[in-house]
Amino acid sequence: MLGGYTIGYLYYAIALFIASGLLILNIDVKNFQKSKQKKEWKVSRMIGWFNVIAGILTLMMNWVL
Amino acid sequence: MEPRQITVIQASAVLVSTIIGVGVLALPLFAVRAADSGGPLVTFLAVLLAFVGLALITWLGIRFPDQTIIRYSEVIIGRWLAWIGSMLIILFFAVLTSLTAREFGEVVVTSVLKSTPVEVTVIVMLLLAAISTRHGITTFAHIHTFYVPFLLIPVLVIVALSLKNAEAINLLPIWGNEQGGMLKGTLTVAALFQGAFILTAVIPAMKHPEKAMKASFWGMVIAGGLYIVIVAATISVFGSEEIKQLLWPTLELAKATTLPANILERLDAAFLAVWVTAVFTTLFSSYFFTIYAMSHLFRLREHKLFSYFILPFVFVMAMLPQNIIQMYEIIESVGRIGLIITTGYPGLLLIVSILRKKRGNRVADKKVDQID
Repeated sequence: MLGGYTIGYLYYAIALFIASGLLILNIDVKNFQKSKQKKEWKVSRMIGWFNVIAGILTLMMNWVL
Repeated sequence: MEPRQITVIQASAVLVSTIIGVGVLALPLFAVRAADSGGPLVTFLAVLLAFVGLALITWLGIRFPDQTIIRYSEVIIGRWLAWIGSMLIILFFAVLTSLTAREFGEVVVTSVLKSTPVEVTVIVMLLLAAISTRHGITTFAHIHTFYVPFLLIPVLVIVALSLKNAEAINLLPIWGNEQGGMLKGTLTVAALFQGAFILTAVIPAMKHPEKAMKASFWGMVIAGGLYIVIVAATISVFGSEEIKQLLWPTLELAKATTLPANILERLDAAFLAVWVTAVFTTLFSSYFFTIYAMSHLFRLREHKLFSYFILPFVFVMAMLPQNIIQMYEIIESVGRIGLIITTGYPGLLLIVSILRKKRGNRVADKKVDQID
């Protein structure tokens, strides 16, 4: 890679998965619940948890493997 | 739901600032590889090809003024076939977003922030796009309109100042020495205009969708004209053989350009500041289109719930190329494949819609994304 120091992108990806999931759960899920947008609330809850779980699973797999 | 507010000028501004982006730096290299001194001609042919694609999209948008391509494709070819097409469009724009972010990151860590990890520069840009895309399409158009003068004026000034080092003989013969690579080169350069596909999301929010062709025309004239001018200026200053040795010839052009009386002896820092803005607007559009199309595909009233969701996926895709060389190989291949999605698919939709006599509703006072 030209220029720059790097530690590999896996840990950045894990942090992004968990942080994005938490942001969705804390901002979007709450807002959709307040505005009574049922479908959007369901989908945002699902994708929020998906990202959090994907991040945790990747972290655990990285430790085990 | 927002009222339909986007004007023709704003739609043109969206096109201009979306098209002018990360590709500007390597553009003269792509053009010169295809046809040596015929680079400006290759760029001109690419502009024409890109305009054909944009005209198809605009024509479709005028036929279906109240819907985005995700919705009217379902009306034209049926739900399941359209679903496949829409998924390909979404995937393509997600890949386009990731490659734009990676190219930005590589340029920054190579020429400005040499000790910063490329991952950090990519994350910062993606995060900026993710936060900005949480607003509606009217705000999206306002942001683009605001940035257009900051993109056009400095670039035109740098190009004009660089001409004092220009040698017109470097541009001859205007059709190049070998025409063998012209077709491939035209497709590669035309791929740099694919962000114009964003118009499919903008037309349904326009105050007068029937005037969308005017916006397309001026958007392409301004962005395409600027691209041709950049290629012509770079070739006239360096010559085609010299450009083949440069990774980012436009950046070298800015380095070789001085302000009169040597107030500034190189303009690359000023150019990079403008270029960062250009990358942001391009990334903003492709990121916005990805999540906007997803919300339409899944029939959701809000697109902002996907803004943070796709962030890690786009980041991982951006990190997949092993180095700059591989990244540019992927960009060229993805760009050419993308032409099938952004030009071939709308062309097919238009033919089928004409044959099946399918049309959208008149918009009258309908709001953006209003579902009947």
